[in-house]
Amino acid sequence: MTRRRRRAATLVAAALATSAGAQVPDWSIQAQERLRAGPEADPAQAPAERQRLVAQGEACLAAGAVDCARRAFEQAALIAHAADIEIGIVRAQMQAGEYRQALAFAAHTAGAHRESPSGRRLYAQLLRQGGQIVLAQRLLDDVGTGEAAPGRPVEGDAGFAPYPVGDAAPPQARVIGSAVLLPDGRQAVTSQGLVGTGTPTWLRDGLGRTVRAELVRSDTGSGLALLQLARPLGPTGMALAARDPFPGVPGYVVAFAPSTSAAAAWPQLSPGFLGRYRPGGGDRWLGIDNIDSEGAPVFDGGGQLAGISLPAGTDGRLRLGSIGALRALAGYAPDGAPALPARRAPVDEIYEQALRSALQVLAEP
Amino acid sequence: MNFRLSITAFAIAAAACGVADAQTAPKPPFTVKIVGFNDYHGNLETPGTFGVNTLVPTASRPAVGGAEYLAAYVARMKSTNPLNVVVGAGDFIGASPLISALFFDEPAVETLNKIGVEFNAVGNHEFDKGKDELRRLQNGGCKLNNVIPDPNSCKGFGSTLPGMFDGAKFKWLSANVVETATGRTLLPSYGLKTFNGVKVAFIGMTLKGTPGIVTPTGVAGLEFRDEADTVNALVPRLRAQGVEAIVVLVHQGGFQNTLTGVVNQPITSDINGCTGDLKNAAGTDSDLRAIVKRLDNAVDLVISGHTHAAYNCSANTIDVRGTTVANAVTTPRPTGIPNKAGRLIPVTSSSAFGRVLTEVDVTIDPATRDIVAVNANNVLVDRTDVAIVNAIAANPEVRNVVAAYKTAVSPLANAVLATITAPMTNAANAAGEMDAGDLIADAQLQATQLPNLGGAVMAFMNAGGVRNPGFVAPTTTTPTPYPYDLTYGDAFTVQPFGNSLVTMTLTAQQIKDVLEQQFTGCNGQIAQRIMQISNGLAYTWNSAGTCGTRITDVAFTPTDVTVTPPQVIGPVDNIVISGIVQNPTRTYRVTVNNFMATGGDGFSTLIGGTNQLGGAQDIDALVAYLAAFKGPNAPYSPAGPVLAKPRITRQ
Repeated sequence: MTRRRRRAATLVAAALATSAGAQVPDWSIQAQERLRAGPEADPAQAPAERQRLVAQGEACLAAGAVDCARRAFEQAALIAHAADIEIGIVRAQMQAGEYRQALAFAAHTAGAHRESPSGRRLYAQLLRQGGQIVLAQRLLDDVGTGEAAPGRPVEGDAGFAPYPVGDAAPPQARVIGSAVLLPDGRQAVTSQGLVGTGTPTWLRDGLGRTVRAELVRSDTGSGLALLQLARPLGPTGMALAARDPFPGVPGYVVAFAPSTSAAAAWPQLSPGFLGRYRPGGGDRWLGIDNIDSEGAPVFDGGGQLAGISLPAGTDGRLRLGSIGALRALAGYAPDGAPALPARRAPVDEIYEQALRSALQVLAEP
Repeated sequence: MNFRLSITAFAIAAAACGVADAQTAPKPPFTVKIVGFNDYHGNLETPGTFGVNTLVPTASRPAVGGAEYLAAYVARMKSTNPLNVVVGAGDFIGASPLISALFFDEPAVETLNKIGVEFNAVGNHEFDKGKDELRRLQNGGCKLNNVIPDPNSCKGFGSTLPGMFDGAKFKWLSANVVETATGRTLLPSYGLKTFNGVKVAFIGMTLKGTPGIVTPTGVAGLEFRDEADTVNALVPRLRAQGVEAIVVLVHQGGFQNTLTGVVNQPITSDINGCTGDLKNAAGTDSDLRAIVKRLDNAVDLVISGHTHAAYNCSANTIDVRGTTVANAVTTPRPTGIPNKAGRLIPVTSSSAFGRVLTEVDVTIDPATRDIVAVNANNVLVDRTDVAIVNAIAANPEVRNVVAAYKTAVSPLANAVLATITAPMTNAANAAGEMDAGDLIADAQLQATQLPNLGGAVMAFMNAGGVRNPGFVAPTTTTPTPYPYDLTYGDAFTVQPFGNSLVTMTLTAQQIKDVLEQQFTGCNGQIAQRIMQISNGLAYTWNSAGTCGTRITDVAFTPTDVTVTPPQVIGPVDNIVISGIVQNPTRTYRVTVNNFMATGGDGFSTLIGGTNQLGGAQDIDALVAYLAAFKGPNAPYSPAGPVLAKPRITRQ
């Protein structure tokens, strides 16, 4: 082993030893087993250096060392054109919050390595989670791996997810809903129904970064709650809409579905059109069908935060929590910006931004 | 050709110039610029960041690629030499991102047309969808599903017209791909381009192992022959045509490998490096090196692809050694790959996805018609280059094509808004009313009817803003298109302008005046422009009247359209009876679009509206209104009595 390789191995080992994500989750073990079992990981085609780099990339990824992971996988790609290496690159891109690049690269992996079901499934998963549900289903149907009925969530995709890093939630914690990280990265807003005073809560973004949070205050009138993070997750780059969006504008809910586990995940984007004001009532319908979206951020067509998804009212239809109420709760004064978004952002750009701003809410049952 | 022999001959010829001067001066050598790249894979958008070598820290690597940047870089390279050609080494399509794949890679072809590609070798991915589809992409025409054009084909954003797909303006070359049924190559074997009277040949081909890496149906009926044998067999044919300058475009490649047991090799994978001289790590020949070693000496340059690696094995090869950018040491190491005669042939590859371009200046001796020097460089397609950014701003054609496809790929494009029971075209009846216009006017009233959104009681919509074809099922929908699920894409076609709504206060007299202003010659109106009006408003016009006397009766029935079905909420208000405005100063809140509010379509009366309040975009209002007619709710019926038609009557 060269001095350079020894140094790299030492760094990775050290990172692993200190990371909360060092315990490799089940999904990752299973995914790696699938990879190992697949033709894309044929050891006969994999020289030792390439294998070493792939292992190094995986270890770095698990430690949250994204640059280290990316360099290792890219170095491996300079040795061989192979699905497992490209899947590593895609996952490193996702862990870095670069959904658009990951999606494009996964498309290539799916098309160029048809022998690899993992590559195809990863692409389908990224399509689905980014809101391209019909196309994801079509992709899986085309290759005979589709398992879902039309209109149902796609099954049979890769099940990949980020490694969790940061504060460790207790083993019995589970995902109970979603929240949104405010632009300064220090506070979050969610549905009042998800959090209570004194209830231990953890928040985790789509990059797997986990942090404990405390309830600051809630507002019964709007149904919103404000949380303070134990430490900042960093700026989100997200803008807040200046006023409530007009009915009918394109909108996107980016949510984490409740789960019986605390597993890290990439969020699900659901596209649609924001609903109207309820006749005779002050609130309005969300207009986008995602019943698992309580507390999730709602973005307008320009990618600005336009509200929060709230539970259904007595009519059974989801409500849109007002951006005005959110601003008031969190102390974000109206900024006087124009009411209409300056541009309509591509959906993949909105999803990429949401990887940092949409949050899982974890709590103990 | 043999460089050393040629250069010697050239020197002799040059030495003899003093004698020849008095007779016919030999034409001097000239340079042709060849721009090459490979494995574009339909990457219209940037594939991310990329460094010139692995020493560049991740954070310092610039964003690269993207169709508009490729086009701008190619344009800049071409601007330095009018003798130029743009070529590819395969896999320009296939395994492509959604923005291209969803539209059958037509976007890839259209952007390559605009980049200026002239010749491209087929790669294995050109066969992903079979030879017939490849031919369609070459020749143009829409993708058909059982004789019906696929809705995702022929978007035409980069073709001559919407609804068309021009096909590739470049030639796909497939010298070693033969149709077994005919014994002929699937596509031309080579392309010729003449510079200063000298022909240069570009032979294009894919790896012979293509059948092993694509779906069997994609290569059914095709035979993939040996690459080197194919080239060598073509050389006599080309020479018989007077061709001596030969460039091979081959979709086969290698990697920069550090060789086992060799010390002090650069490990930085610089885009202009050639570590390992395209050998495998064990020292054996890579597939590409093995091909080049068997090539006829007539071949002057090989532009390769397939492995997505960048290398420049030529006189310009550099070795970059170091551990950081700061301590890196660059050492020139002129090289190449030996051919059958042992001569070193320049071999290049430009990574993939449009990250890198290979810029090659070849010097041609007109006397021998052959290439006598090759100067190749790999260049990063750096999106931070200010001059390139400015060039794109000045000529956004390719950027606009990319943006159009980006919009079309949105999951919302095919989202169903509502179900309609019958077509609603933008053809008006004799009175000037159209079903599509009624729908739009109602939607605009609904969007502005609540007090906090404008408090409107009626809406006017200019007929010219109801775009063709109206709300109708595509003609390809068979056999019974109705009830039809209207999509966002359908609605956007009818309301594409992004106008915003404006609610203003008008007097009864102004309402009469603006209705009069619908007719040619009345208060500056230059054409008959019958506005579409919302539920609750009705009027009669007399075709025999003159300006100021045409509108005979206007009746307003207050109607709440925020509920479904709409509800009448007040008694009829006869604004005009027999041409007489009953209460000229009475005011009404009226919604129009911002085009009309500023006097558009000749409606200057609206400029006088007061207490103006801006509102939603017209398309958003339409979407919100239609949501009430999406399943499981009852569909929208343009003939429904609750819509209170006809609203416009002609006498």
